[in-house]
Amino acid sequence: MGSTFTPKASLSKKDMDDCSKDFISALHDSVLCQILSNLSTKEAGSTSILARRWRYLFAYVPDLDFDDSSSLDPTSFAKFVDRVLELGKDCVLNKFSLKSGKDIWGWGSKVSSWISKVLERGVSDLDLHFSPEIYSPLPSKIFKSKSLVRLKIGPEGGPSRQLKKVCLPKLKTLHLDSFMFEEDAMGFPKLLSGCPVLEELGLPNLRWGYWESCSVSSKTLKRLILCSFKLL
Amino acid sequence: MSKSEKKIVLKSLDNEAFEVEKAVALQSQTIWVMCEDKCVGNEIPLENVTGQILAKVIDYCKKHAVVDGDGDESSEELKNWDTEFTKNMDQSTLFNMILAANYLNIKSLLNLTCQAVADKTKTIDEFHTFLNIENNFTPEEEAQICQENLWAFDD
Repeated sequence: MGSTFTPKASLSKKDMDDCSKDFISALHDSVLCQILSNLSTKEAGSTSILARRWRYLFAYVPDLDFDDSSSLDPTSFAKFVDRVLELGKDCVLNKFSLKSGKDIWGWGSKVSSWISKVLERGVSDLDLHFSPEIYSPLPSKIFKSKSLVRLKIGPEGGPSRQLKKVCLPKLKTLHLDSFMFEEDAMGFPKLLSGCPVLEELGLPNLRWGYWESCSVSSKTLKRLILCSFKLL
Repeated sequence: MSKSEKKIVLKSLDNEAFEVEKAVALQSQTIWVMCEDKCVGNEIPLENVTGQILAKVIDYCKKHAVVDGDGDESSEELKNWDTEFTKNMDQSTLFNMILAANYLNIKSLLNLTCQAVADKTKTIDEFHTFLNIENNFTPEEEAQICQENLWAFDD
């Protein structure tokens, strides 16, 4: 099975009508990666066993989606994420989605190192969802990324996290569940000024501290979802 | 732009000619570059695409040129149209559409057709049968790969 692709060296009309042909051979690796990016990274990983050409392709996809909530072995999950990030370290990465329901020893530093790696690769869409039982400190560089366009951190009703300094020049969509501003009401306008092109902001379960009044304005914001309760 | 410049003729591998609005054809980056370079006249030969596939590509481009995806309703309608468009495509048509979308460089059509293949191939068996992929690993290599990517094979 050849892995090179030249658009001009095309299939003949007869080839195109032949249903038994291995069409996949005519597709460039980047197109195969695009097919794989429509699968979860677990499903894509299982294609490594299809044939030699597919052995490492799953790690080169531009959208990575890891979900270990139904898995029984968090250690093999962590090894798999490590492997995918190592194999694909020189590839373009658009999206990194991590959903985890288990705690393992050293989990916080593992998650931090994964997040750092994907931020270094210029990821534009970051979706983090951890089980409410585990609390992993988030690396502060998430909130200083120059490439992020969409950022979502959950889960609903998870442990409260503090929102400190934010500088996300490209961010258009921000969803943060169970956050509180370090400076109470002062933090809100600071958040907006740190996200100059923000169009959608969701702050469900906002931990509401000592806010008396708060006035904010934004020229870019189109959608605001704010849901909070006052801390006792 | 004069009236004659608004239309363009696309000629398939099997010499079928399609006259289309330039705005429709220019969704293809490949055609766009050809027109920019002025290396072709009003007739563009597409050596990699058959008439049967080109007709479908043009249908897609017409639909996506007409409906501007700004409003929620029209983008929803467009999404449903896309789903219907690929729903009953057989394997051969779908792959030729991918090859055409890749050659013509129409990103949204490539995304759509790749998504359609992924939807049909969720398991390894489906991959082998739908994509006609021949396994060229030895049993030892297979065992090693399962070990390397253990979590991916853990059900």
